[in-house]
Amino acid sequence: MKLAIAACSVLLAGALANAAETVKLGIGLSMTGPLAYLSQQYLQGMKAAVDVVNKAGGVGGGRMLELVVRDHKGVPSEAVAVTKRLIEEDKAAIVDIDLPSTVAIAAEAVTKESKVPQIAGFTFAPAAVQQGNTFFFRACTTSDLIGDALAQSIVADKNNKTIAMLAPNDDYGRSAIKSLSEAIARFGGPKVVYADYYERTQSDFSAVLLKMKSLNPDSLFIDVRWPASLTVLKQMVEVGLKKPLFSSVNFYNAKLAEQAGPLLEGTQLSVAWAPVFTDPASVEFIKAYEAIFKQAPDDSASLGWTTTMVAAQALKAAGPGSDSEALRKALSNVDYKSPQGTVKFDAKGDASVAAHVLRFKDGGYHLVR
Amino acid sequence: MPNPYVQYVVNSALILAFATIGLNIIFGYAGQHAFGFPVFFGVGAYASALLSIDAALPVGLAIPAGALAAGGISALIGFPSFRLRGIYFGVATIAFSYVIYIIAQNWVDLTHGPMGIPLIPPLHLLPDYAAFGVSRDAQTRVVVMITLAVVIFMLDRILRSPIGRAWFAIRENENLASSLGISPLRYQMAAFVVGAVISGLGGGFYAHYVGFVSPTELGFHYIGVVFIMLIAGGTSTLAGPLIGSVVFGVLPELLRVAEMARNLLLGVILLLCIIVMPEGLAGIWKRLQAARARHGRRPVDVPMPVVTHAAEEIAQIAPSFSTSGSLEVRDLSKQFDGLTALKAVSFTVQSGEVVGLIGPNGAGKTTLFNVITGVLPPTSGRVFYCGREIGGRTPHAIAALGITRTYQITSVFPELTAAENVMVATHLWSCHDPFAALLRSKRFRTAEAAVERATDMALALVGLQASHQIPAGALSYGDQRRLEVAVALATGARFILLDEPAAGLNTEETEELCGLIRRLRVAGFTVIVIEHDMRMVMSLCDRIIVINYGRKIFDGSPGEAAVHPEVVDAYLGAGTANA
Amino acid sequence: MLELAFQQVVNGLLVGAIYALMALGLMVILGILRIINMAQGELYMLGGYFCYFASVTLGVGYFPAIILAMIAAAGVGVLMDRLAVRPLLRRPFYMVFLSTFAVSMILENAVELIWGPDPQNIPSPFSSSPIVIGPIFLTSQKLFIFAVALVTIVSFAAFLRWTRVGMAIRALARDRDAALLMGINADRIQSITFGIGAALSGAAGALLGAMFNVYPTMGQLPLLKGFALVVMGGMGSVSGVFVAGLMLGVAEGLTAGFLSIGYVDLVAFATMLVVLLIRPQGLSKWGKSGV
Repeated sequence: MKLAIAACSVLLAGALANAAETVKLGIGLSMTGPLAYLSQQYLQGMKAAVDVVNKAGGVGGGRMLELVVRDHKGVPSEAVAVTKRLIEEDKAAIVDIDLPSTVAIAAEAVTKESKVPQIAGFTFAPAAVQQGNTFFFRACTTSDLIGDALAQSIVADKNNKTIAMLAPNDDYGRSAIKSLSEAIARFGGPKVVYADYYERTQSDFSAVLLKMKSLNPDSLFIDVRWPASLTVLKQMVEVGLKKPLFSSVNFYNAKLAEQAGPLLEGTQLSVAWAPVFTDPASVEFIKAYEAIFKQAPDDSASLGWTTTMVAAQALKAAGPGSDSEALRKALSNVDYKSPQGTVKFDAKGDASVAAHVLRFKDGGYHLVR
Repeated sequence: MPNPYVQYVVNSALILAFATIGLNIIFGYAGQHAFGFPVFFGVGAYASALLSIDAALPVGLAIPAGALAAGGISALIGFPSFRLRGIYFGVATIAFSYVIYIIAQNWVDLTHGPMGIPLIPPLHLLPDYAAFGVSRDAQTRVVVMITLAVVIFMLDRILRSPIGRAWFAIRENENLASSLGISPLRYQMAAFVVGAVISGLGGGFYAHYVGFVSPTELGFHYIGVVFIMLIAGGTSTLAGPLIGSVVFGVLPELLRVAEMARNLLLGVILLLCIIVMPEGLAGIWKRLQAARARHGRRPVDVPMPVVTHAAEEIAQIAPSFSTSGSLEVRDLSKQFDGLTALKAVSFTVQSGEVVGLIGPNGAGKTTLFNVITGVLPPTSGRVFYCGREIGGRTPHAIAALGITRTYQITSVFPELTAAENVMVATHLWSCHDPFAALLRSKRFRTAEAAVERATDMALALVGLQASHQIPAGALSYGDQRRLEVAVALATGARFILLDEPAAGLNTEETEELCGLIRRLRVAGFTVIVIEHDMRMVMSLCDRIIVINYGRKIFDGSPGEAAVHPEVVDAYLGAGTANA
Repeated sequence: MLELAFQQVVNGLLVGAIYALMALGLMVILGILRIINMAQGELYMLGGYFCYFASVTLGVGYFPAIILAMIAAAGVGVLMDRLAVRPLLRRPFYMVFLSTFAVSMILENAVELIWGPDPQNIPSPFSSSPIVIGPIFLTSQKLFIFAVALVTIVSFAAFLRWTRVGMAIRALARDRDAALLMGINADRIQSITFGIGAALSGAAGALLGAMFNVYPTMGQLPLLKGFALVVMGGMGSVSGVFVAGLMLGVAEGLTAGFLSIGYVDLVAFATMLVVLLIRPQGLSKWGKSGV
């Protein structure tokens, strides 16, 4: 009898110890700086996922998922410091260093050497999977795939013979225009008559819009972040520039729709995801998110959700007490139906999730492809 | 073994120390306020990264090559910038740094643009198989610390040589330095380039340690950080930049607990540092040391050679690198925007003469001195020394020919000690070869010994031997005047222009001064003196030249001058004939 | 092509007037107090944020919000003078440079903490529909802002020239000791000057913020461009800086239109460097090449 009680208490203690155990996801984001808004949304998506996972019992063995978040301000050298801190001090099992792509790539030098799994949920740069890091996994789409999706819409109109482009002068913007131009060329589409990059600090676009107007292109690709996006739309009216408009998720914005709805009419934009998706994964995500945050989620939040879910799946598969190598293996075997599409990593660690295109019509965003 | 995160933070701080030390050379030592200077850290990082990736240079070569590249680019920037004075210079350096940033952002083919350069090969001290478990962090730290030690060691040697003294001189009083034969542009450029090379060296270490460079490293964020490190650490010591780098390299990481308000806290700390602790952390240390030294100090008792104040002694203070020659001024005119300061002035001063230059205030006497010594270019006319044309040449070139001067308004190097002031004056005949200074060669040590001896003798001659270690700015007016004479004597020049040397001196001091000038004549010097004390001028000078409204109205003996009607009318007044 | 150029020029003039306003704030403090105020960009930024706060949070109208923003910015300027500049009066000038740099860090981070790092929009009562004059497209908002900037600049010049306080400020600029001997309270005038300088730059920020948006780091580049303008326009010359500002606006517009929008910010610096190298004393005949 005493033996039984002793055994039970040991088991109980063990179970309690296990129950108190958490698995940490080390998150490095741009909490301050120009990508702060996106970072915040991304993080909220993650939190929604963590909530759902933990409510369902955690990641196996009674372990709960926990997020440790640090700010790298979008500066690559700070991202390196943040990654090291997350690994060494916070003892994160998996890290996610995102926004912008340059910080994810900078962090790869650390995770490669420390052999710690790194998932990127918001890194579109094609180069991210070319760093020779077997511990790196990209769970989202890429600028090449985004370009492909949008290019199909662009070449759909046979009258579209010329196009002018504008994007931010950072790795995202440069990749965006490069990928889109290459995709258009592959599909035999319009000629790119003008491509320019604006600095983050610039808020007056009338000069470059005037330039575009003088070239009289058939369509425009304007990928400008909020709230400069509002300025651009208004200034297009002010200079009298009215052409079919293509953009990216930067133009998928409730405030933009609210304040410049009529100006957006007919615009097609590429996104990783949008709340108008009706597949079961999206429905589940939207429900969980709204329950916590009382508002509809956006593209960034969905990416955060997916990253967390992928990490959770891998952690469950690897089981408690697994080392980095086991985690890595589990990650490479992940097969998850995310709101954006199926996440399955190839040999390079790229999930290559296809992008989607929306059209803004009659005051709302509708799925095109 | 502390964890890699802590090691990373410490290593990063040490690497940034290169940038801080480099900045201190141009900002603290040479006194040039190049606000955009820290950009060279990023330039070195880019250069090293690109050389190791695109040019496949081994890392051990890429880093120094990158540093030299940074030095080269700094020469391109420094040369036009130093033409500007005051804040325009500082603003120009900021502008150049921003231009570099924009180039890095947009010249994508060369610099990879905003995407940055990833996968920079790391620095390996030991190949992996021979590392015996010593982490790359530790290897990097060893290399960085050794390099820092070498750099600081070399810097110390340079600072305690005529080169360092030249830097301090142009910081304290550029015009005076120039008139002592120090070319401001040459030494400013030297400080600029040396500082850039050191900064670039740090940048190279950074690139191969972090593994990623992007235009952010060339941006204003880093410029601000390096300045904070320098000011908080202190500019006046060798250790200051190092201390500042370590403290303010680590501090932001410690402040990560207040992640959001980090910059605010840093700003507050910096503000407090500036207001409360202007000399920085190292400065506090220095003050403690000085306070301790003061407690245990005896009255200054520097063993001095017994000075007989003989004329021969004067001649031996500094080796003469030129003989005293004759000065010819021919038809010299100087105009300022409509005001004619000098009009067709002509005269000759023979070697060995003592000539008095007198005239009412505003007559153009100091302007004449300024034109002769190259401070101002002549509008027309010519000046010859020893038969060579010197009109329009730079002050330091003219000083190199053997002409020196003192100033109407006392001009010294205020923060330097009296001894250091005189040592600067020996520039023209001391050894300023940087290699000799670094190696402390025999030639260098002999020259420095001669410099010290000359300094002691010069100070003793003017009666300032007790003020050896006192900052010139703290000396009394009379003592500063004497210091100026000691400085003039230490240059080795044999042709001396004295601008109102007796101004503000009492009768006794004026007598001493006259005695000194007489001994100068005996020693073979040539002297031109501007003075208002008529008794002094009449008794001292072989000849008198009188200037009135920019024109020479008299040139002859003192006796003749006293009775010359135009001279009396313009300047002397009737009663002076009997003085 | 010509049409495009013409339109760019007109556009550039409008933006240039705001640059000039910003630079005047800098010039007032630099030229008169011989102080390099590295926080001038943040005063500009605060002008924008105070305008945002007044019009969005307090619900004050668009126009009064601009006035309130100027006054509030002036207040911050005076505070800065008392806390960060006066204590360092006897020290070498680069100390003030660094202390104002510290203040700029503090102000920027403080704004970030209070309002968040994201850009904020100031709703404007103007419509976007263009006013078309020939081939030129204008908007009523741009015209309004240009008018306000112009009025402010002219009023300031008149103030300096014809009021007693303005004369005291000019006296202080010429010769501080002489001004003290004349019975001018140097400390008070310094505070007033700082306040005016802050108000001018703050006005520029409010006007520009109203046209586009405000964000915590919006003051960094205008500070440097302001320096460029003061250098080119000549220290102490209101008209010189105004003309330089207009020219910069036009040059930037033409660069964006004919080269690349990415190089726009380079124009100010490249032009300034060229001017300095050719004519180290600046463009205006009042300019001196040293402080």
